[in-house]
Amino acid sequence: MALIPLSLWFVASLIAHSRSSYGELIAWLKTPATVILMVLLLIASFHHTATGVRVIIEDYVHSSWRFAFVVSLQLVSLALAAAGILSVLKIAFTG
Amino acid sequence: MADESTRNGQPAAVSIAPVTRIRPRPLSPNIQLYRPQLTSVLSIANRITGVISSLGAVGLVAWLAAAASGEPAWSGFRNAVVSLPGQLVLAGFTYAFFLHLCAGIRHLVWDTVHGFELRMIYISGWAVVFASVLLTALAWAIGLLAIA
Amino acid sequence: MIIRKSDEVSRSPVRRFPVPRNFGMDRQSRIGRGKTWPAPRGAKHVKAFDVYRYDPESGENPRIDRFRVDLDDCGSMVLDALFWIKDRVDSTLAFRRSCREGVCGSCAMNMDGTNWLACTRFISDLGDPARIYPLTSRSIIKDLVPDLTDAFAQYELIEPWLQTRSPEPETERLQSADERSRIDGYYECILCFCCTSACPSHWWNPRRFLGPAALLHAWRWLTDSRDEATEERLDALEDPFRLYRCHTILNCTRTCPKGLNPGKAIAEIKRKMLERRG
Ligand code: SF4
Ligand code: SF4
Ligand code: FES
Repeated sequence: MALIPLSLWFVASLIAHSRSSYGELIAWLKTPATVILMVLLLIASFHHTATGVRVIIEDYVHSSWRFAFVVSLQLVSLALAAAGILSVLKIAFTG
Repeated sequence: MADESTRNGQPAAVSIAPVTRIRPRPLSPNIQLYRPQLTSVLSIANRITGVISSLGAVGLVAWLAAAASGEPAWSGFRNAVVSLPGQLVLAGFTYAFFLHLCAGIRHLVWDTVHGFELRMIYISGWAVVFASVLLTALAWAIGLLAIA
Repeated sequence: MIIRKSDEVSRSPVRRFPVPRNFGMDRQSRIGRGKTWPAPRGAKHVKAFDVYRYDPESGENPRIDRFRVDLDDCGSMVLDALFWIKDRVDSTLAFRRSCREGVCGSCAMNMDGTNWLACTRFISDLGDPARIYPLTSRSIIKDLVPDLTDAFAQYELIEPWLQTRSPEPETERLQSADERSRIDGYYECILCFCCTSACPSHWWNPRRFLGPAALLHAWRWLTDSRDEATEERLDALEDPFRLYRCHTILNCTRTCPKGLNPGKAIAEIKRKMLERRG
């Protein structure tokens, strides 16, 4: 449910930054508020993805592959979320 | 006492006519036959747009990673998005996102056990369809005006 | 209140999902072309009926037979047309029926792509040719007769009877008018299984997901003020498949020929689960 405001915020800021240069963008990504919201957005959206796609797999896959699919789905989601968060932190602290 | 041919004092069945199941029973058609209606179409659309939005989230990670690894990578990413195919893909993502969002809100309302009368189901269903189109148009209008 | 027809909603112009007719069907379920019967002689108003046929003794696959029905010689309901065919054309046509007025639930079938009762569906509501199939996603015994063993087993699983712990009272267990009204819209179910057969989620998980009909009854007992097994009933449903495979697609509410609302009943159960967890 936290995803609704977070994702709307993200879409709005994306529109706002559609013309920004690299420097402006990085400056925005460095502000503490952006960092926190972005990390939250990443966690929330990949959590939602993992649970959502898991339900889809359980609906349609009935073979013994189901378990393997679900586990790899969760690993991939975790990895993507981690990669996103790492990038955000890298920008925030080095950039 | 009990010999092979009796069980509990009763004669064992002498012979049972071999039961031959001629063939397994067929399953009547489902998805091949059932009429599409707003209920099921929106449900499957919600799924598909959810998956697309997930891909969008992957795109978000790629974008962040590009930004993190420096200006050249970021420009490459940006050029790809600004190109015509990139814009079309982005438009697709926007629409998928808004449809999934509206349908998600509809589901949240349902979770409070409201709006289950057939009339409301149809009203909210069409509302989701129109709202998602409108929001997509709005987002792009704002975005394009900002550029112009 | 009871028959607030779900078919008041206009039907979508699209007749089928864009998948091949025998898409994903196993070998014994593929449907072939059957016989075309001649039009009745001298008939002025004729409508074609494409009817799903399956003869378990022939060893052949299901097929679609085309019948032509003389509408001037036949009653106005789809069930009348099936009788007309059975009497005048092909006496081997098998279908279930009993009350012919929408109270027994025997004649549930799929007509022009939606599940409903053949005895309360007007022939004039159907296209030409009318497409008559058995209930969707069921194992078929013969022609339009589906095997409902699984469906009734799932109904049994929710223990559809009053369960009490408190000592037997001297008189009946009383309910106030208000308490009684809470089972309105749920007790009227005739177990036709139109809804369960229309539920895509049940198509994909027919054994593990209980389906709307059984869950509607689960709620009918959960919300009955006299029933004292609420906790046990909820425990039995606390499972990722039995209850939670319902994704609120609402094909069930859309199709119920008695105007009931299984989708809402399921949402009530889910909310109750949430309240219980705190
Ligand atoms: S609301 Fe639930 S039970 Fe009803 S058709 Fe949809 S998934 Fe099936
Ligand atoms: S809820 Fe309606 S469609 Fe489902 S079994 Fe009962 S009467 Fe039939
Ligand atoms: S024959 Fe009883 S419901 Fe149709």
